[in-house]
Amino acid sequence: MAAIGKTLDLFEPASAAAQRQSQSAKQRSSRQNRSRVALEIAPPPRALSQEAAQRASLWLAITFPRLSLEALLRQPHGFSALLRRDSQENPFPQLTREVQSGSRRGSEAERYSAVRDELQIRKRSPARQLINPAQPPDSPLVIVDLSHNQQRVIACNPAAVKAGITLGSGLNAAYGLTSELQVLARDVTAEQRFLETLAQWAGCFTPKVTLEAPDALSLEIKGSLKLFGGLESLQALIVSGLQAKGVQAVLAVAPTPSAALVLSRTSQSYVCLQRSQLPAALSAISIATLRWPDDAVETLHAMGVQCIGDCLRLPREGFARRFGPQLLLELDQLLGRAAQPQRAFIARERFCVRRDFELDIEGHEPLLLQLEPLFQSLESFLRPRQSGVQSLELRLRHREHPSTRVVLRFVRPMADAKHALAVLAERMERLELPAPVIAARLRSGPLWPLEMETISHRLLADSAQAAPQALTRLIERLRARLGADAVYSLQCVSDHRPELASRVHEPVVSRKRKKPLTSQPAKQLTNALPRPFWLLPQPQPLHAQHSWPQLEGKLTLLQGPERIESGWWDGNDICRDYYMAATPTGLRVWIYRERRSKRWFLHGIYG
Amino acid sequence: MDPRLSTLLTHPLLWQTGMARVTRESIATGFAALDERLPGRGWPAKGLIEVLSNEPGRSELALFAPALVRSLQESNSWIALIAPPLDPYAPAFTAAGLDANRVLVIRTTRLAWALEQVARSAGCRFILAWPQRMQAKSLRRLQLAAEQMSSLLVLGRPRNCRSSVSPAVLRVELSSTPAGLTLDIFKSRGGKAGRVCLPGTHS
Repeated sequence: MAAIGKTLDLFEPASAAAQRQSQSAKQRSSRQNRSRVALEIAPPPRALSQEAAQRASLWLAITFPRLSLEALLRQPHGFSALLRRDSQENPFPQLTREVQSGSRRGSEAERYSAVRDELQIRKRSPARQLINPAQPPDSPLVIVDLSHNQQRVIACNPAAVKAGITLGSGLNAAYGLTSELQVLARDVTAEQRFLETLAQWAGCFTPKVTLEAPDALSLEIKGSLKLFGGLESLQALIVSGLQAKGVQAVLAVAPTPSAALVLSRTSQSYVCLQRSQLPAALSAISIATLRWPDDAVETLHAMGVQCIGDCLRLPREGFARRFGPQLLLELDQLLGRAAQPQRAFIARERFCVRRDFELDIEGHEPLLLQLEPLFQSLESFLRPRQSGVQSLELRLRHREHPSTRVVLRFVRPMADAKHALAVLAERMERLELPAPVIAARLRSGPLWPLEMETISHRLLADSAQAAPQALTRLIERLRARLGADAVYSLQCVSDHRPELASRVHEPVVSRKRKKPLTSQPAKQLTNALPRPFWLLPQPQPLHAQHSWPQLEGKLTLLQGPERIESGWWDGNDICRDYYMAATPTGLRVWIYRERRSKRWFLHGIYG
Repeated sequence: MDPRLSTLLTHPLLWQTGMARVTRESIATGFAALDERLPGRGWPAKGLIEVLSNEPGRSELALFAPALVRSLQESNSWIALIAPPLDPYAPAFTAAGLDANRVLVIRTTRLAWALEQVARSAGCRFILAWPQRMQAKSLRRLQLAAEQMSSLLVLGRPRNCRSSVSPAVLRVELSSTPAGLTLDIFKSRGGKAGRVCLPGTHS
């Protein structure tokens, strides 16, 4: 209680309207003559003020009850039924075999997982039946969720409804009702993608669209009412738009987003404009629409709470103690007593284009020629957006082989088709195509703002500014052909141990000129030796004569020693005396003597 | 000197051997003795330089480091090391005044291709490469590319390449002696051949 009050400190004390509500609810509850003492979830001591309520927005929620089915129907390349129960074919051969042999050792869960495996095998197998999305089948079609052990029907088409299948019924029960049932697996990503498409479309009515996963959208429409000529015409526009898309939807309007959402889940449209009317509008709705955790709903059911109205009559403290402050907050948000921040949907833009070739394309050069238009459309997509991409995925489809995937990565965002093609050409050198290519799909990663330099480079191709650009391109070309590991730059590391003082580093091309480094990376002692340009990958043991190191003859010590004793903390401790030495031919080398073993090693070459 | 003679001597059509006024750009080598022997008093600022030695890879960087430092302080460029025989060591670059982050190391067996890519790009102005063998034709292309992109390309090659034909601007043979590095300049465009010893060559 105290915690709730604290979170709402921003707001003024409870409004008179809320008190009126509480009184009327008390009267209602006494009328209902329940045996238990019915207190209500009163408003928190500090609720949204009247002023805030007037500023408060109006929300329109759209729930798509058949989204999982509609999303599947909209898959661009058609979709395929998982399995089809024919009279000849048994959909669950494994299961029946088990039952027939009488060995019912496996638990329920095991048997279901066997079914699921079977379904998944069929999903992968090429003998799937492809359904044309333009002509959805008239035969009964259901969608099951494979992620749960219990395969319940989560969506069905009208034919399936006619056959008597209801949502939530088991798959076996559904098979019992009709013999020509088609089963589809639920595709959560497709649903999410479809919902995003719908959210993008809804953006033409209001800039504030929120995704209410998995199956709803909420739109803030207060600011749009005037433009679209009132609520009725706006609703009509949305409904007709959704009908044109062939999407089934339920619309509800309420002063709070969650109330609109809950109202839209009731399968009939509802409009509630005043916050004071909310409790009345919501009271008869089942608490299942709140989508609370299963155990909370079960506990409430056990308490005899069936609908939201029942729930609101519970004592506030007791409710918070039993179900936690989160659900209480949700109730407050439902009635507009607590603020409910919404995360606005921002459309993710990606470039994706697919092209089927008339002929099978064999060989790299013809393929590159055929791919050119794809890259050009990429450029014409990116240029107006002043954006670039840092990664591109090219998928080449073959007739009988799994498709080949080529990923191109760029050091900096780019939008140049020619450059991308050049990088692809280099990458192709390393690529072996298993079969001729029949189709290609080019997809971009996220879009990034294009740096000004990249734009100016196009205008002033020969200017001095072009150097970083040229270098970036050079690195990309080299990496595409030679592999990313073969091209790197160096970095100093602050470590006294010579092996660890230098490391391979990703080349970073920056436009700004860095000041030359004046400070030493690791603080050098006064008697420190200069470091050699070349380091041996492994110290090379030197032959010693009378404990004097030899390399192409007797070595002359020129400078040193510099004692390096470090690294005891990570197990790679060293204890060495380093010298600069010269071979009889005058080559200067960096050698050390290990102090424990008294052995000499060659570690670097000055040149 | 007769003023008429001095005007005549500066006439652009009159070319004098041995006294050629080389007007090409150059980069001071950092070694006074060497600067005196090279036309333009320094390494050519662009083109191909061949450095022959017993074991390519050991001394080239030490020889060119002072010039690189001087030149890179003015420009924003990178150094490319292509197929170095050993691992370049970052602290040495930093100590010499070079930015180790701006050293591009390319390890490859397809050296001729990589070399040409780097030479034809405006990205790196200084390229040091250690090719196993080079064809005369590709050397010619590299020389042209380096001149065109005004980059300096140093090839560390084995000693036995001395007799082969090369379009390089400058060819030297490097040997280390106890006194220091000895350079045998045996081809120098616009300059004279000769030996020069650089005592106490330090990196």
